[in-house]
Amino acid sequence: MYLRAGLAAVVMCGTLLATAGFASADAGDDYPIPNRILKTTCTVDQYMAAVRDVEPVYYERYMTDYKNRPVDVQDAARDRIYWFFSLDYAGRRQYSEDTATNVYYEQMATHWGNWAKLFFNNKGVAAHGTDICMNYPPTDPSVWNW
Amino acid sequence: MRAIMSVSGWALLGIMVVVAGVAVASPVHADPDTDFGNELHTYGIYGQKDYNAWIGKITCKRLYNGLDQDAEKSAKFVFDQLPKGSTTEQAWQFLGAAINTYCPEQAPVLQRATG
Repeated sequence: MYLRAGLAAVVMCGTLLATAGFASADAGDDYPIPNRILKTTCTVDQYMAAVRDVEPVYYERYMTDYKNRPVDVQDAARDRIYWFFSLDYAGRRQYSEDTATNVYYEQMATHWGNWAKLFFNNKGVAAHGTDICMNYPPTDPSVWNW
Repeated sequence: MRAIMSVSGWALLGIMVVVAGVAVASPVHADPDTDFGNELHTYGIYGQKDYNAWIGKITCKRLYNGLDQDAEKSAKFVFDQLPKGSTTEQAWQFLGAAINTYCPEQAPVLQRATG
């Protein structure tokens, strides 16, 4: 009996600690959103066109995933990433903080978990894309049509 | 004697048919990605088979949708995906192999470049 109560206490304690761990997680300069993405002055279209050239397999996979979503989810994901890119550095940093501390902050992710994978999930891809994105036209709808 | 010859003749024919069958059958069952990778090896291009196959297929896609409008652009795209230290010649060899393997209809692009 005591043993069982003790076990329950340990389990609960573990759960509390784990929860507290998540809740207190802070955003870093590169987490969850790579610093290069927080700082870039490129447009969404410029960045995507760059990644299409320098990280073609990553881009291909993202676009395959995108095309497999319902149209309303695709539209919402596009709107959301354009909105994010419309923010300045401080706004992006705050957003990064908000998503790091609250997994439910980004509603888009409940419809499509990897909705921003091309932008947020890989530091190397973000670095390679932002290295050259300024060389591409600011507006290029073809980046979403792959 | 004639009977023996006749039998051995048929046996020989049988063996030839079997051999020919094997020779014909193997390309049919081969995986194009493996063939592509093997061809790349002859140009000194190694790396992951799956990665190279992706690049080959994406190269074709870019030709089909007009993102790369000529072989020069296509070779440049390929060159950027090859390991550092690769040569321009290897990029063109990769491009030729990719077109032959994954999009032979795009062969005129190469002919225009050489013409």
